Order: sequence, then structure tokens, then C-alpha cells
Amino acid sequence: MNDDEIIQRVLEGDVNGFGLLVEKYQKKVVGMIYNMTRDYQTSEDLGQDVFMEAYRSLRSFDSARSHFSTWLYRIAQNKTLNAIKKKKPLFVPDVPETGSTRNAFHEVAADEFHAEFDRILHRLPVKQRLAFVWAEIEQLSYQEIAEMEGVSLGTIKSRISRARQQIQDALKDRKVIAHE
Amino acid sequence: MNKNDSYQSWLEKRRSTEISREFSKDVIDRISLYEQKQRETKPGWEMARWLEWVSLTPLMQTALIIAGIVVGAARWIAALQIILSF
Repeated sequence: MNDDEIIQRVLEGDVNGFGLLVEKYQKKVVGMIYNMTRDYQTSEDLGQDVFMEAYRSLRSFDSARSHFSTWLYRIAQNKTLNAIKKKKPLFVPDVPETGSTRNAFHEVAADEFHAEFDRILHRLPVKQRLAFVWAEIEQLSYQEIAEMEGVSLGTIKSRISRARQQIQDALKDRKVIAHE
Repeated sequence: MNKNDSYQSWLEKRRSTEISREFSKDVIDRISLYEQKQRETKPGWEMARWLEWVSLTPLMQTALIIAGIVVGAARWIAALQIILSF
């Protein structure tokens, strides 16, 4: 059963049918919010709000204009950006204990890198970060992200390219610092 | 582990966000509650619910028809009594 068929069922009164859509998209929606906020509780709460909003607005969804997924991700994106604006100081990326330097154990080294990537990602301007999270982590196509954002494909490519460049630069800086 | 491997493993980690098992159930529960509230706040909802109940109960339908006939007949009898009394 495709999304449009499920939506039709829901609009005819089958609330449980909406559960199929939740099951299908929850991972990407909650995953995106988590990767933007790094707050597990917030990501689940906001994720629920996203699906509630989608349910309430389902009659306004026009399958001729966009895919359901694009429409849903746009709701998720707007809610996330609003939450970030309101609660900016609360979203702190995980930071490893200071003083732990790279050692021979790969796991520790990997953890350090992961934490470093997290920090760098969260220093990016929010639009670049969002585009990067959608494209690299959630693996959405550039076209899909452009439709969601309501901007041109070129703008999205540019945001992701700048995000990558900043991550590379930050990693270079880190290497310099590590050798000092 | 080189930087590229680290980057790939970081991406994998970020892609594997855990979601509570109850997540979709919680969403459906919230929607059901929302639907219930919507129904309750609609004007005439109580009447609609009563009519729905009546229409779904054959025994109640029969009882209402009989009650209607009895009340109607009683009125006709009362009217005839008044006319005949003149």
C-alpha cells in the first residue's frame, strides 16, 4: 500500500492507518531532529508533535504538489528550527572528557573523532547543518531537500559544499592543534 | 583508523538513532485523544451520538415506533371524546 492509499484510508476515518505512516517515517524524522538538537527527549517529543501536526493538516496535503515524505520532512524541519531558536542554549553537543588524548586503542580514537565531528557539525550555521544532516546522515536527495526548503538545487548544493569545506577546515585546524 | 574511516563510522552512528518502541503507539494514542476531543467539542455531538445509538439498536427503534403509535392513538381518542361531548 503506497502513501496516497494510506492517506485516503486515514481521511476516511481509519486513525490506525496513520500508524503505518508513523512506522515508515519515524526513524528519519526523529533521527533528523536528534542530529540537529542532540537531545534525545526533545527529538522524541518534537517527533510526536510533527506527526500530530501532519495528522491535523492531512486534508491540506496535496499529493499532486509533493510527495508525502517531502511534506512531512518540511513540517519536521520547521518545528526543529523553531525549537532551536527558542531553546538554543539547551542544545549542547556531547563533549568528551578533556585531557583524553588519542591513544593506541581504536575505539577511543574513534570516539574522539566522533565527538569532534559532532562539535564541528554543531558549530555550522543552522541552514548548512540542516542541509548536511538531511543529505549526509539521512541520505535524502538534493532535489528533495531543495523542495523541502523551497530553494533552488544550486543553493542546497552550495550549502552542503560549504558545510563539507568547513568540516574539512575544522579537522585540519584540529590536526595542527594536536601536533602543537 | 584513518580520518575517512572515522567519518564513515561517525555517519553510521548518526544514522542509527534509537527510537523508543512505544513511539508510534504514543502518536496514535495522542491522535485518538485528539479525535475524541474534536468530537466532544462539536456542537450537537451529544444529540448525534444519541441518534447514532438509537439507529443502531433495533429494539429501541421498535420501542420508539410503538410509543409513537400509542401516543398518537391516545391523542386521537382524546380529540374524539371532546368532539363527541358537544
